[in-house]
Amino acid sequence: MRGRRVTHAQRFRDVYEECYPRVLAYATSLVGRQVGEDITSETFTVAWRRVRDVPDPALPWLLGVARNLVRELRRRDAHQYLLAAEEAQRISSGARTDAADVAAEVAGRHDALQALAGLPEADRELLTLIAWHGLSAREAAQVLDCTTATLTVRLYRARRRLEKALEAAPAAAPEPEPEPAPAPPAETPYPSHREGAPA
Amino acid sequence: MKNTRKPSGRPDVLKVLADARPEELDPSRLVDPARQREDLARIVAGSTDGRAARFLAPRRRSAFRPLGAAALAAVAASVVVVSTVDWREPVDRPTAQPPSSAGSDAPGEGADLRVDGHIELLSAARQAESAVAEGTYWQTTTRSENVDVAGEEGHLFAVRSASTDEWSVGVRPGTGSLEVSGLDSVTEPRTAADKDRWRAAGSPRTVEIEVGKKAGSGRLVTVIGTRRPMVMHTNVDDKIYAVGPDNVTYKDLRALPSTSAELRRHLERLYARDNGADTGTSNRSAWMLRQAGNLVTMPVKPAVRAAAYRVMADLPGVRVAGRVTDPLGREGVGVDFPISYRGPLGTTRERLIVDPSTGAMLSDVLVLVDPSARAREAGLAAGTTVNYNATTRMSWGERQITVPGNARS
Repeated sequence: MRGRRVTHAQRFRDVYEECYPRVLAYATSLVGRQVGEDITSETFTVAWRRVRDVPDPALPWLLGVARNLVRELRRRDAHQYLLAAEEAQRISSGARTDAADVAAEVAGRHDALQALAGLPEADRELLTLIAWHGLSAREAAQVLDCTTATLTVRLYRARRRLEKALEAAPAAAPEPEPEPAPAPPAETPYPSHREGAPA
Repeated sequence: MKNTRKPSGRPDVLKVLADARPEELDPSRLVDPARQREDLARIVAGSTDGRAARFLAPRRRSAFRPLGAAALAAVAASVVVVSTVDWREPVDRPTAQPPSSAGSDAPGEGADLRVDGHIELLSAARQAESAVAEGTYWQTTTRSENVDVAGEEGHLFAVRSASTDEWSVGVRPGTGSLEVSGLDSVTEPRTAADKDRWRAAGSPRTVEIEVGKKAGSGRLVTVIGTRRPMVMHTNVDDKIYAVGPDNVTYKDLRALPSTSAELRRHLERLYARDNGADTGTSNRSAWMLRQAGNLVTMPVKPAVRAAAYRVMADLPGVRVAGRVTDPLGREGVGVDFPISYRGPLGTTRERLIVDPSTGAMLSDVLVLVDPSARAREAGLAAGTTVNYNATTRMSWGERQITVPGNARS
């Protein structure tokens, strides 16, 4: 018996269990589901090989690995990457979901996704790391391999650009009473972890 | 959106954005216990399986490992590769056929022109020794083509995607590295017969192709027609290439050992670091061949380039074939990888083609050796080149390449 000490294998399983869906969500946002599954698998393969180096919390580290793997795929196989990235774009622009759902609530979402799609890639990456993947500014800085200070500045600018883009959004199209859309509790902070990751 | 205004009256854009997250990116919808378990078992049990031929993982989190593993190495490492299998040359097999998509049968050519490829490769090494001064940007232009099978069962057809890529690596302090890929990019039915079948299917603008994955296969959508080029910054500060598991600077590159024995030992050490447990001689030879092949395309010292060719010539299991023709019709010496790969098109085998008269790396080609049923139905026979990267230019330049106006980042 080794007492309460957690073995590397157990730690890896815990990290895997906790982070797998979130790594997959991130990878899917970059390269779509099909290739995203492979990137996720490769990410955890790296984590298993280097289990002693995996920090706590592990998620930013894992997303950093996934991001590197995607960049490597892009460098190595531009053709495959392009197809995968186009699939990711269809997902991120809401093209995959919106068609099925024409509810009023979707209009605002559509505007937001359109505004996002019009931003530079670096802005999109940063904003979605925080708003979609639930990272803090410090964690996002780890993924993007920059300092938190740099990230804060970049985030400020990216937010401004997104605000501008949203203001410019076709307010023309008269939105049929968007009010009834289920308003999330006001106190929910935006890097919410309501995805179900264990606290 | 109006309900997301903060008390100040301004909408919190991050909140708006968070609420707009597409469902496909909601982690709670991505939980798949069966798949996760299966994947976990595979990772913990034999994580080295196939890995070397697929993604070369970053060694450090911060180490963007972008590149070296790339230009000519692209094909075998492609994501379509599902697993590696030992490539065993049939004992009675005659000389290799030139892996040209057109003349895969090329009867008679092999026997008559057969020369000792090994010696020719060493001649390439000698030629590589006489090379140029240094410059500011190391620039390569490659022409690449990839073949996929698309369409519905019973009406399958082959599509080819071709493009030109330019890669310009700044080696002086303060210079950047840019890659513009997908110049003149086009996807189209591969042959006239494929075009007929595509038309019979209603000339769809988008078609689905099958791609290999770790577990099973998946489908990706491709668009018939042309595409905009894509730009990527490939350096991380002064790290400009990857050699094995490391990102290296120009200084590191220039410091590589220049005798074949030392270079081999250097690469062997990197292999051990990159792979942990040894995964067999064939895999190690394949890894070493890929690295040596990559080095030849980097701005290393001429003596290092020559040493890399000598390392290639002596790798166990690596076969050097006599004169072969590359996909652009250029004659060279074939250097065959000791392992083959399985993907949706069937079993494929990779070959580097080197020009012994100049010491230049001409092409990296992936040839179908045992087509899958789907590939067969789409008219892809054994011997067909299903992917290649052909280097058309490799030289120093003093100016950074220009990015086309319509390029996307």
